[in-house]
Amino acid sequence: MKQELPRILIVDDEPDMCWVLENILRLTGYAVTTTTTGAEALELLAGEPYTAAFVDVKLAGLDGLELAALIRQQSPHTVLVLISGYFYQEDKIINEGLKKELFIGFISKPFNLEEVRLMARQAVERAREENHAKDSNSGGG
Amino acid sequence: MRPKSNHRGEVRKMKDQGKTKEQLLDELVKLRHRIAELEAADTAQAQVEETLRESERRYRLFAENASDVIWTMDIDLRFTYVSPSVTDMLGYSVEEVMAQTLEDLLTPASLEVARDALAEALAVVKARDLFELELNRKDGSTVWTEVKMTLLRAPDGQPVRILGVARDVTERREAEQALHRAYGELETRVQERTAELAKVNEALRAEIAERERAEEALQESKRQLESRERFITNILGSIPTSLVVIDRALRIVSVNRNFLEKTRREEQATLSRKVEEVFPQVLLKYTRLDEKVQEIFRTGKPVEGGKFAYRAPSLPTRTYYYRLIPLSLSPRPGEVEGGVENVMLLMDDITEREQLGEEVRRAERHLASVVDSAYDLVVSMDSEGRILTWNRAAERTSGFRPEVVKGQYLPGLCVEEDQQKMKSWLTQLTRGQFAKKSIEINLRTKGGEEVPISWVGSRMLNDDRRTVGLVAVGRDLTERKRLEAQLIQSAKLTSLGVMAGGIAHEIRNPLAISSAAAQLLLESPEDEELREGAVKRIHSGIQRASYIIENLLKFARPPEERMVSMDIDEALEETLSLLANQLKVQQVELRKYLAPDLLPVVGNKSLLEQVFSNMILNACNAMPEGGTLTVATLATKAGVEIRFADTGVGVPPEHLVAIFDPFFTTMPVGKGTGLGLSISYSIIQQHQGTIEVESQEGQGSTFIVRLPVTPGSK
Repeated sequence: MKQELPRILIVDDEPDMCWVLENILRLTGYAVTTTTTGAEALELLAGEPYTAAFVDVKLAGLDGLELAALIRQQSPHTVLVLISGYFYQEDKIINEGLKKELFIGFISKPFNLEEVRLMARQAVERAREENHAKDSNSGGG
Repeated sequence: MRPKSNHRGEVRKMKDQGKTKEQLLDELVKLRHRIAELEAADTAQAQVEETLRESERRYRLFAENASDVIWTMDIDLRFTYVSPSVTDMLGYSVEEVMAQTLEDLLTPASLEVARDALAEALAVVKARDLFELELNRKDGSTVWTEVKMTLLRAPDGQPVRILGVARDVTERREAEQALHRAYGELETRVQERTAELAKVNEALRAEIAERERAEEALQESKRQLESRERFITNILGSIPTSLVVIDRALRIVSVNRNFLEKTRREEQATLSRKVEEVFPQVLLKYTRLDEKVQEIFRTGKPVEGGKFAYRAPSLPTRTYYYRLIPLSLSPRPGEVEGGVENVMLLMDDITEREQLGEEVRRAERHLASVVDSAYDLVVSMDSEGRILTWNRAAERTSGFRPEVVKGQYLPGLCVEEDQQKMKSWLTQLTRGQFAKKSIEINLRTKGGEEVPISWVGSRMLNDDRRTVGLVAVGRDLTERKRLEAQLIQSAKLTSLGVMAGGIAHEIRNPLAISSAAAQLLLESPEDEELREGAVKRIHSGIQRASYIIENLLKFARPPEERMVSMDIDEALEETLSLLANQLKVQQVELRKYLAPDLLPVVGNKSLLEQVFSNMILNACNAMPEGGTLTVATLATKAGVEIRFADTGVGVPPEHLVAIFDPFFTTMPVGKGTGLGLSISYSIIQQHQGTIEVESQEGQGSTFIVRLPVTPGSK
């Protein structure tokens, strides 16, 4: 049976940004869904499980960091990656988020395609690790 | 007619003189009474008659020798006896008298008296005893007699006889009359004399009065003369001028008190001394006083001298102004004018005046130097607007020297387009009408440059409150304008700093899109669909980035000097596009209500965009938790109204008054300069617009900018 492609959700208020990210990840081998609003993102997450979500930090209507926290709360199995043109890797708020494992990585705009692909791989890996740990825990129990 | 009393008095007097006769008569009367008594005692009439006759005989002898006329009459008034003395009295013989009646004998007036007396005597017991009667004499003349009359009665009381004694009183009466006449005359004389005396007296009194008056007048004129003399002496003594009278021999004839005080000289050490003994040699040499005095004696013309300094012993030097005046003699007969008798030297102490003048000059110099050292242009004009003074700052700014502009009109020195404005402002100022407190009018310098000047004016009034001049004080705004521009620029850079974050994000987004799309294109050049999408996005991303950068550059560029006709909505859109991302970052929802077809505004676009960005950034700062910003434009009667309404924290009422003040800020140090609103305010003012704020604490604020549109422009 053909293995199901990992599902990735892209949240960015710019459709062009969504288009670029979608094409990068689709061509790499992921099932990609895009949305331009935080509200729709939460809706989609509630409907289907996603391995990872790429979230733009600044969104109209809902702050990216707030959205990240909500996603963590609502679907703890979805691994998050932050993208922003506003913040930098060194910014305190990004560091703290990483430390708290709110998100596993941060991509600052503009970026190389490889950065996105690496993040996607790491996210899928992390999700698999988490699933494996869960499985072994349940098998052992 | 003489009064009776007088007459009677005289009679009594006369009676006293003839006292013996009186006594005889009294005896006679007493005898008669005795007879009457006897007759009463005897009842026989005959006896009575006999007794009577006997008695008559007894006394006839006496009667015959008496000088008075003694007579008897029966009751029918017929004489029964008349003594012979009657002939002496009347000229008639006794017989002739006996034949006469009373009517014959008496004058009509006396007859009347006699009848009355007899009637009286017959009616009453007591009769009058004395009265005067006038009798007719034989020669036709009359004689006044005093008559004493007694009624003889029978024992039964019937009157039977009348006994009378008549005495000639003509002499007495004459004497009396003479006396009376004399009295009368005397009285007349006295009256005449009195009248004369009164007249003389009157004349005398008049003369005395006249003399008194003359004396009084003399005294008065003497007093006047004295008082005038005193007056003149006092004046000469008290006037603050020194007087010295000099004679032909150059000797001092007279000096006044002031001279003695000023020169500290004694009178006796001065009078009769030569001029050179009294005045210092140096002074005489300097003034040539003696020569001038001699000249006046020759010419008779006064000399206006001049100033000299004189120092009296132990007194500070004082300055005098002196004059020499000829004192002429009264002209002698035949001369037109008298010769010069003396020359008077007048010395006025002008030390204080000189000092005062010096002080005034000093004050003037001081004022002039104050005005000259003022940084501002100070221009004074007469009421017609002609320039009188032009201070150094005015000279420095304009390049024109004061002597060049003196007499010119100020509007002529302004730039052409402002000349009318200056003219009407000065006119308003002259009339004291409400004039703008300050007015900005550019001067045209000698070099042809324009200098912005802010003028304030005031008018000078005389005591009648009429305008006698104008003063305009101008401040060169060049430096201020430069500083203002710098300030505006620095505030803009501050705004740019605030915007930078948003703008970076704004640019990084299209950059990221373009970059990613380019990489995709590089990786998969064969994928037609991908290629097309990527190229399109590369292009649009680059376009977006360059648009942002262009706006940013436009915003950062120093403002153009000139005002141009511009579209407010367009300027607002450009500003909002720069700030769109900032709004997004701050969770601010933007609502735009821009009125189409707004009339163009003449303005400086980059400055107005700065104002709009200030308004928008202020609104964002007022909404730290996000909110709604409503930007609306609206065509009004006067122009364009632009509203920026936020739903932020609002401005507390106590801050509302200070909100447009420079450096007023509620932001933490380093976060805001506090210049944004004050710069916006000054920019809008430059555009003849207004800016105001309405705010409710906790509800939000609305900033309203109003700009005028050019009339008739479209």
